[in-house]
Amino acid sequence: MTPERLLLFSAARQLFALNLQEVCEVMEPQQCYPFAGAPPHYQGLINFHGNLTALVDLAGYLRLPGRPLPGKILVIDTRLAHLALKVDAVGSILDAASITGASSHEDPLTEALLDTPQGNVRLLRLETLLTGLEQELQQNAPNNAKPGGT
Amino acid sequence: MDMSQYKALFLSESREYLRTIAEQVVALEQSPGERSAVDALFRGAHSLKGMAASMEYGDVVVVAHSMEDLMARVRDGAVPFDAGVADLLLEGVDLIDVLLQDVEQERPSTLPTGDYAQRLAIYTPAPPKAAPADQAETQVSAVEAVPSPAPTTPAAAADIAPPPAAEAEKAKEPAGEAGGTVRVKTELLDHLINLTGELVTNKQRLLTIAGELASPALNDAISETAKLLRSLHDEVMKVRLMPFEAISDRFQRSVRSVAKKSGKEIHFELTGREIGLDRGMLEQLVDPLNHILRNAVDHGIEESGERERGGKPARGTVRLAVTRDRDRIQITVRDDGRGMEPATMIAAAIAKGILTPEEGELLSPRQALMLSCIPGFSTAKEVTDISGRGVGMDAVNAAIQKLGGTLGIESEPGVGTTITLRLPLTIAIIHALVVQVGQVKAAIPVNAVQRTVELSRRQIETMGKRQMFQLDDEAIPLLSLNRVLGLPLGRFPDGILPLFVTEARGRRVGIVVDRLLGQHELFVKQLGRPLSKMAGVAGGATLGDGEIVAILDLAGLL
Amino acid sequence: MALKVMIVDDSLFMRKMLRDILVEEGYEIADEASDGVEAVEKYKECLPDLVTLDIVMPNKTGIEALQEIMAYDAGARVVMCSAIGQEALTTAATEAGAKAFILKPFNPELVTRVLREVAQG
Repeated sequence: MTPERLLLFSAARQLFALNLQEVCEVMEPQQCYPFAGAPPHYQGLINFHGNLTALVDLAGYLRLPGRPLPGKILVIDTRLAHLALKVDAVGSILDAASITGASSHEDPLTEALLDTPQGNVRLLRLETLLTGLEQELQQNAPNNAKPGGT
Repeated sequence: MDMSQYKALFLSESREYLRTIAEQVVALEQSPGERSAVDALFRGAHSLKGMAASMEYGDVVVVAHSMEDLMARVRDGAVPFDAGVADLLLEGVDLIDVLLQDVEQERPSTLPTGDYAQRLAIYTPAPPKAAPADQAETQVSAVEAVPSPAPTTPAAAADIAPPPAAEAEKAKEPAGEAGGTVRVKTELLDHLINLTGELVTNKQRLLTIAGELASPALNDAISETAKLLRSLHDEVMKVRLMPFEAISDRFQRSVRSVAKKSGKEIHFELTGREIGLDRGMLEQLVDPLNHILRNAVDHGIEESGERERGGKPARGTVRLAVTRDRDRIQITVRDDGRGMEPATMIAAAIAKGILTPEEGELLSPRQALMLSCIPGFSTAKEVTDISGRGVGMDAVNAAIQKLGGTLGIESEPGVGTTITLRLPLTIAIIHALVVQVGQVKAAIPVNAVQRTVELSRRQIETMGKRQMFQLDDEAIPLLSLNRVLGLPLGRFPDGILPLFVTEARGRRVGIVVDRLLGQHELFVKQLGRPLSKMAGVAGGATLGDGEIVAILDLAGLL
Repeated sequence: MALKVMIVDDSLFMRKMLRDILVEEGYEIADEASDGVEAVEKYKECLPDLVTLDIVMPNKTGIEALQEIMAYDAGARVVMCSAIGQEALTTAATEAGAKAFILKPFNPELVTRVLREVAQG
């Protein structure tokens, strides 16, 4: 089902969208503190109104070539996650009425491929994204390092 | 709506608008065509009118409204901005200024606004300007004389006020006890705790600054603030406490059902159900305690026949006791079952390949019992049956450590086993050791740190593949935190390795880091999705300078 | 789920009053802006469910800000706020996409009723 309003953004030269309800803020890049033990697309932790929020480079997570842009940060609704996505740019808000066509996509992360006045847009499934990130962290768990090496 | 709370803001912002209006009038006199100044004047009068209307200060509304209308006519080109307009506007500024003083002193308006509005409404260019201007001046000066003596009286009154007020409070207290409870939303509580935590963080920041300034006065003030913060924190935390009995029902039920299933007769005792625990912690204790109790019934207590042969009552006893000393909660689960044999535990661990026989010999009985908390050890069925303990003890241990607590096992073969959980009263604020590893900082709760050591490279001994050092006549293996976290290894050019000693898998380990950065009081924040699923991280916290560090959960990491 | 409102007014006093009314009613304040330029910028950052937009403001009037917000988000739900005397601008605001009007001074019951109606579409 296509949500009423979508937030358009770009990463790795592709257009993406998320349900506007799932995004609570668009921020300029800000001070971010790296932490150890997570995959490389975790850029660090940011302080979003007191919530310690993981900043994930979306292109990196999707294994797409990143672009050296300062970019923007999409903060996911804090009731759903403590997650912020680094993207290249944020476009406008798209009304569902202006979508001219939609097709399904085999990638489970993609809810649908939408035809919009701005071009083809991948509408992301937030829940799948979150579950994917969580599974990756669990698989990435530090394998019991043997004592001895310094 | 109670508007009195907005009065101070109304006054300060209104005066700002008056200042802006006066400045713009002067600016317009210099260059009358300045469109932006005309707009700003109009907006100033418009905003003043709106604010005064909200406060229901009718006189201010009338004056501001007529100024706005006049400026609208100027803006629309109906009236040129000339000296007459300027005078009228400045007169309005003075009028409102006096009216605001009345508002501030809470006295009825002393100044009739007279025909001001009417004069503005009928204003046409080039009138005689002297009359209105003079009139305004005399009015203003006459009024200005009035308020000056006033301020001394309220100040004096304020000095006398507190004692009777405090007495009144005292008198109220006993009466308040009867119905003295208020329902508070849990979000509000969480918010209070959050604020308290932020204050603690900020105090840490002040400490950093005070260190740089080396000011004794500032240090005194901060240590006083720190004391106050501690009591504030304690009080706020008390509000979050819930009696243990909020969860204890479930334990009674689960002990009964396990006993029934395993065909054992169990006497279950519960004491300390009235002890208050942090509500967040209570929820997280349900699973671990259930586990410990089930193990006690299932594996600890013997069959009744076996018990009788051993000279024990046929019915086994499991006691769950909650006690509290000043700032810690202690929960013990004691059974009078078969107990655990350290030698059997060590043998089982060697058989599983977890320990070498040499390592096994080095373990104290207490350390041997803690082997049951090692992941690979305790999930094995056969070990469980031998040890009389086990399934999921690693998970129990991890959960307790995550709450900032410790788990201890004491056991005497044939007599029984006692598992003791020691928990902080609250989970929100902890003391932690902050360390530097590679480019990142990390925090380790001090309950997991036995001590810190600065080790010279010469003190390192190599035993097989392992590097060890001697501490209190015990050989302790070294482990690099950098390596565990997948970071580049430290270099230690001066030959000194900073490390802290912790207990992992039932024995002591030296964890080498790049630098020990000292102990901090941290306000723990839980991480949400997805990081809540990351093993080895128990939460995060903000340091005094705003830097965020992850709080490591060593039990999950090692 | 609490709805997020962005409050735009050049007067701190007015913002504070409106904020108190809205918080009391259970709304979440997404952000506040004190002029038209800031309003458009912050709209794109805080993505509010509702906006209260003052008409008379410096650096871009409320009407101009409204037009830009609607161009960015055709589904934006904006409620214009104005004091007596600005009735002439209501037509322009309606044409630009404003969903409703609130007259200052704010009457708490009226404000909450209007916002509720707009929120429910």
